[in-house]
Amino acid sequence: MRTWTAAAREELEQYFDRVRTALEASGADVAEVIDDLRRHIEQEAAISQLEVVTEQDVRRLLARIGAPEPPASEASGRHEGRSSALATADPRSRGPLANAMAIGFGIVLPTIALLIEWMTGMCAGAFFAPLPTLWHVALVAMVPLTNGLLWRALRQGGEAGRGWVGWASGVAVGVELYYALLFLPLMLPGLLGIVFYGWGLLPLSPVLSMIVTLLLIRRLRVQRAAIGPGAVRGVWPGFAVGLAGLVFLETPEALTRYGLTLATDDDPRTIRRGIQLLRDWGDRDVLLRDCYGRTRAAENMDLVGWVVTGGRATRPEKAREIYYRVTGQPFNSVPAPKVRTGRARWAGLDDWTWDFDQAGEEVGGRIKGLTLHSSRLDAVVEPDAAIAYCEWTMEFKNASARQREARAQILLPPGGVVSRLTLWVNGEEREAAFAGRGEVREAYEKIVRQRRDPVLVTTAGPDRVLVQCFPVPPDGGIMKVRLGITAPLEMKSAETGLMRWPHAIERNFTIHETFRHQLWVEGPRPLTSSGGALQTEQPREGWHAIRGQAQETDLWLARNFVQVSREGAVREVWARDTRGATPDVVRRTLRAAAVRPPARMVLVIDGSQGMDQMPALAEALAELPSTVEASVMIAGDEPVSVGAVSTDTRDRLARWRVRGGQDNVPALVEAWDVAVQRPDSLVVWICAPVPVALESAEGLRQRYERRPNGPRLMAVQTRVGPNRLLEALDGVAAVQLLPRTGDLAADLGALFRSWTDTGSRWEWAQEREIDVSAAPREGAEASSHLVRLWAKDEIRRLAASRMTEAAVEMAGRYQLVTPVSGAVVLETAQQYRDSGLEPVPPSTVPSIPEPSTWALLALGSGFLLFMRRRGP
Amino acid sequence: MNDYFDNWTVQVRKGLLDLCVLSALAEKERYGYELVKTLVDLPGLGVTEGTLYPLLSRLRVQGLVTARLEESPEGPARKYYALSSAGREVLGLMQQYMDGLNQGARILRKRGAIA
Repeated sequence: MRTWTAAAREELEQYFDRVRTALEASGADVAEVIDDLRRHIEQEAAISQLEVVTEQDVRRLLARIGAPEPPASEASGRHEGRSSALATADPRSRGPLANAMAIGFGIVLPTIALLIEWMTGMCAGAFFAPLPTLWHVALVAMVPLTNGLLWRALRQGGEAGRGWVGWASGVAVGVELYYALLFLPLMLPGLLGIVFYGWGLLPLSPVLSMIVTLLLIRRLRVQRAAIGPGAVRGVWPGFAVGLAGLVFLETPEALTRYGLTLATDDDPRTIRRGIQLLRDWGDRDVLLRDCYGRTRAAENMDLVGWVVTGGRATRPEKAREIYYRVTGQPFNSVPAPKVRTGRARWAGLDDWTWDFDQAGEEVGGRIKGLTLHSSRLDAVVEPDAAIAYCEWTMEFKNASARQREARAQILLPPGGVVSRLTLWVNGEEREAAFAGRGEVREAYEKIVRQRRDPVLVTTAGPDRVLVQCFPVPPDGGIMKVRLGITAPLEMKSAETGLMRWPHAIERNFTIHETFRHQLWVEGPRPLTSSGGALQTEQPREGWHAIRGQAQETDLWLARNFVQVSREGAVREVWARDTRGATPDVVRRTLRAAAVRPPARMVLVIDGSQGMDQMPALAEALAELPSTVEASVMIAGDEPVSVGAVSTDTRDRLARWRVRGGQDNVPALVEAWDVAVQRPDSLVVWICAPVPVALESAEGLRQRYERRPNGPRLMAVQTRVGPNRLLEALDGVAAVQLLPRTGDLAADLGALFRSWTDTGSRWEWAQEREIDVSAAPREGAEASSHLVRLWAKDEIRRLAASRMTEAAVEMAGRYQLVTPVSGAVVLETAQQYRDSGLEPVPPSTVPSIPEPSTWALLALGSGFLLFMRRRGP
Repeated sequence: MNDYFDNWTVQVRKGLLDLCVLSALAEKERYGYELVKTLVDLPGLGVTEGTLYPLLSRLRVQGLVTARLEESPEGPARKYYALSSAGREVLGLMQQYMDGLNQGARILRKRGAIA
């Protein structure tokens, strides 16, 4: 152990004090140098084997060490040294090839890659979206910008951007590394593309620019080290920031993909967790993209998706179901997903994407470029028979480069039936064949496969039909179809009937905001517009018309209804049935029937997001007669029984927080089980659109089918939209819809008020009788539409009695689209023969009668009325 | 004339000192005492420990060399110095520069001899 004398220590400290100023000026770390010198002296003492270090020893050693000299560059040489270092570090001094590579791969290539992807969505369309947000664009834009700034800093001698260039380049490297990994699956195809075709550089852009950035940082570090203290600071923190920024931006997508994985699990609890996660944190745009499907290549190339989901892809059908569970909205009720950079629609919907729902039984997603080009609704009313016949002629236009199928679900006027279907082929009208549902669909699918012209109409639930026509020709081609609908008027009193318009509740084509449906109704008695939106006129004596235009969103609203005046004294009408086996007559009688309120009502309320009218519902419940035993059930994640209707129940309902899209089947099944315990019971189901069948409705269908005299189901849909559950209950006699006016509180209020003791309603009864004599009958003669309405009810009765064959035969004979039958128009006679179908003769189809026909009918009924009033 | 030459050698020595330190570390990592002794003993360089330690510290601050302490059984902890990648790069540039300079000087010397 060596000992230092106090004097020796003092001598050493004095030396350090003397040299301290010189050391500070040299740019060295003073404390470090003093430590080094102290260590050096200790080493010297050890080598000299000094037991005790004295003042003299220190002086001797310090004399050998000497005082620090100023460095060579500190004085005049500093500027020269700097110039020299700059000259060698200046990127331009590295040779033209190296310069070109640095500028090309570091600045030009990333800029081009960014612009191409941003403007065309090339990668997003084919594989995955590298720039889903503006933040992504901003971060990627930092890459060429930073490389440019690094280049400039090197040229300016390393002093430029001293404070921040390290940070910026760190961020750039982080972004480049992330994208290099993201594009990893595309690198090999890119390299092969370069080798064989001379293109494919874009996927390599991140890795190439990362190499350039790293080289530029290195050169800047060398340059700064050569000219003075201060390395390129902040690279690592910047790198962390850049990488973390992108990871943060990708978190919603990653969470969504993870949520999708959970939501597609087999375990119900895991599914619920996934749905909850998606509701709280999911990115709806990502969900929406999956609803439209991804190609196999897109799935395989999505590295983030692979990492998060382990390569488990979500099928579009499943994604649509999950989208509904999460948002409560049908995926095709919102605009197609957009990449949120404002560069037009999501490329997944572009022309080269397959329409997964073509020729299927679902309407599916909106097809880009497919629009409703024109729409005219021409109707005639028979006021005394309270029947309307409406022809809806539609033209579809396809601006895309592929043939497209137009599909729509149409809500008919209450009690309506499709009685005519026409397709224009080469400018000529072709009428449909009416046959069994399976036959017409098979014929349609076969012709679609051959890419020829068919149109198909089948029912899709109570008062709902699915219309599909193919192909709407590409590049601006137009396809024209016409739908004839026979419907009874809704009787408001013996003197007034109400006509509603058919309207689309789900469609795969676009109807622009400026689009207007052209409406025109004529009839022999005065017509008025319910909301004053339509214009009335009387073209001549004894003939009335009402016409106007309506927006797509307004077509179903009360203000576009048409009120039809009728002669209240006419209570009986009849029509000859020429399609039956014998010459018969169908008679229709108007009578005021007392409304019998249900003994028990179970109100099932859809707890989905779309049910945004809970306060209106609670308000309407106040009008429920106290004589009706009523209870309320909410279809939430689990069915929730709220209890009997009371003030508390109404308050609870008004405050109820709806979430996502709920499965209503369990609640409806439970409601039926409660309702069936009492005769004359009714389940009122108030629901938002149900775009996805989350569960099979067979259990529910079984209950209503097996107890035809059991509880009835009245569906009240709050908004326009599809309802898969009602589709599944197609043809079930106990299921009916509450006709809507657009105001939920008013519609429900009117229903509940009609259940009071004094409530009554006007209704028609139809019966068929054998025409035993050709003598004139009582009442007015009506058109064959009266027979069609009777036939529709008869077919329904036969089907409910499981006499399906007879029902199908009858539907074909009366040319009606019913739950057991459909209508299809094919292009050629050969196609009809091949399919075993026969189109209806044009002479037998209904049409808008000529005014002269109506004048005669009106004259006849007027005469009969006159005779009746005169009496015998 | 001697004063002029002495001044010139001082300038050359100072200019070459950084190069010598970096060159000494190019081959292998060295601990401070050993490095300093090597350079001090270098003929013609005429440098002292008092000059070398601040220079080593400055090179470390500039990122051209790295330093680490290691306990030694023979005495105080040893401080080992090594070239960083930036230092290696600078050394390359310096040598490249020196080669060019020497080549130019040789050419001038030859021309002078011919003349």
